[in-house]
Amino acid sequence: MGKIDDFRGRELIYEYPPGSPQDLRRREGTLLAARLMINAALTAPLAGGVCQVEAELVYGQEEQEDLARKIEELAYTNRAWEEMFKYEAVMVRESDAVIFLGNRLAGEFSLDAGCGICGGQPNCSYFYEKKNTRHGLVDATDRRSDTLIKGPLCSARVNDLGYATGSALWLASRLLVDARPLISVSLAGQQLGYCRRSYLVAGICVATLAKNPFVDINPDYHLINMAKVLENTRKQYVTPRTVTTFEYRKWIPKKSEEE
Amino acid sequence: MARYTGQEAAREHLVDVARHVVHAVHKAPQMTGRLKLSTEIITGDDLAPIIEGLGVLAKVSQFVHWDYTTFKDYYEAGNPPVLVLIGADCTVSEMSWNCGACGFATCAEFNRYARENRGTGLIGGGPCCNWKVLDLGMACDWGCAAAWQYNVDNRIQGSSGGVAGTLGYLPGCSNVLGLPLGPSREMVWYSREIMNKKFDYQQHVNTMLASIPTHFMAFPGGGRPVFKSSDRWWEANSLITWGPNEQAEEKLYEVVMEMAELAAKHGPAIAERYKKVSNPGQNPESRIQNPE
Repeated sequence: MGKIDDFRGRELIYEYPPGSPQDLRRREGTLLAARLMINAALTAPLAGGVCQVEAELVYGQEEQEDLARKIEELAYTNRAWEEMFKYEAVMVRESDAVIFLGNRLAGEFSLDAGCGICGGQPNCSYFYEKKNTRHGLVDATDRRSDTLIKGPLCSARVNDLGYATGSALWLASRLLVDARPLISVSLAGQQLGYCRRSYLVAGICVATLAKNPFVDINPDYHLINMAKVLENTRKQYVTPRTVTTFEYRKWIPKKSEEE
Repeated sequence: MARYTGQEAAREHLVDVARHVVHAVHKAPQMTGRLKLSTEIITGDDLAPIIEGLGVLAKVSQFVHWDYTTFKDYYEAGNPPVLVLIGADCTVSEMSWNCGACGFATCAEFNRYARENRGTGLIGGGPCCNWKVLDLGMACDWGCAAAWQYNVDNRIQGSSGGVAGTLGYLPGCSNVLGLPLGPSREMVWYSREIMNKKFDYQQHVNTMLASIPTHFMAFPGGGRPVFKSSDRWWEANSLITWGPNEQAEEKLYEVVMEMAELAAKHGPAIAERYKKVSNPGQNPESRIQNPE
């Protein structure tokens, strides 16, 4: 009976200040949504119904900082990415959680249906001719690669990963949870070893903040964002106090002299 | 006051759901933000050439055979599904991400190769940028989920989409997928009742024997494993074997030629319709054909 009698509670939930008990309770709700998003991803359609999508749920200040830093590192490796990736690193820090969905078959066990998506041939030659194979079996032990992703991949499997990612995002939209798939998160997450058995990884940021952190982004977002503004406020406000000082117990400046 | 039978109202409603579906497809999130999607809704008699094409491919592919029979039987019973076509050109990467997923070091190299080596497989065209393919997958998934939200049975298909693309639907798209909606009843595209009694017990068993031979293999240590193809398998002494199958290759060639003839037969009429809708003020991407 004891447990039933104690079944009562009172939970304050609010996003500010970040990391406070009320904020962490809010984030727990996001994690529930993220876990359901993952389950939705796992039930998405798959060519031939073959199980191939794995997921990893990542959250926590340090984990997200690692991810953001990896994205910032990648930002400087490609001119096409620089601004975009620096902005998206901010989004990763602001997220409540990050979901990684990976395809464990795309680089080793292709659909073998001659579908034509990877190379435009009515066979799988485009995939197999660039792989180290024996008896049509891909030797995937050599993971060296000059590119971030070791291609080619079975694009039918990649299409399936798209279905999974779509289902996760569909559920997020139904739960009114903000979520966004980002190429920067996808590539950085794979580099960090999330879904490490996967050949292609899709990264989704998830958040339940008053303001969706993935849209309505201002220019120079890596320099002008909520965290930076708050940091600057903490800096700016303190300095004037140190130069306009007085003994408040004996005298406080007033608006009019007669007081 | 008008009266509607439930079945008629439900059939008309499928077209409304198809509108929701194509909306969801275009609204779906994208990783690249650059995938240009095309969609089209095919109903009634316009399904006929696609069903005909499925019938040709069905001769060499069992999964196409199942889709063909399902489409055909519901169509002939006067209760066809509504077919949503979802397509995009995935053969160009303008992102310069140079991620390597396609097998080339840079997007520029891939684009050069893809331009010169465009071709078609059994389901789609290529070579494709994998991130574009992933986005197309997301869009298709949103289409499926939108239909499911309205309790409409549906299944994303390479078969109907591939045939439609071959016949000339959604020109400019390297990949076309088909998403049949309905008809309105409990089970259509899964646990297909319409396929009941189409194959007998032995045919089903034969499919399993051919598809997962290792499941029926006896002790392999002798080097010449016996295949347990019957109850008294030790008497049948069937051995697993392999080798080129000329008969199957000839059959595939015949089917490819037949598909080419079909595309020549229906292609001009289909192409003509795209010319009409390309008039100013009309967007072919958003065209919805009248079911009449």
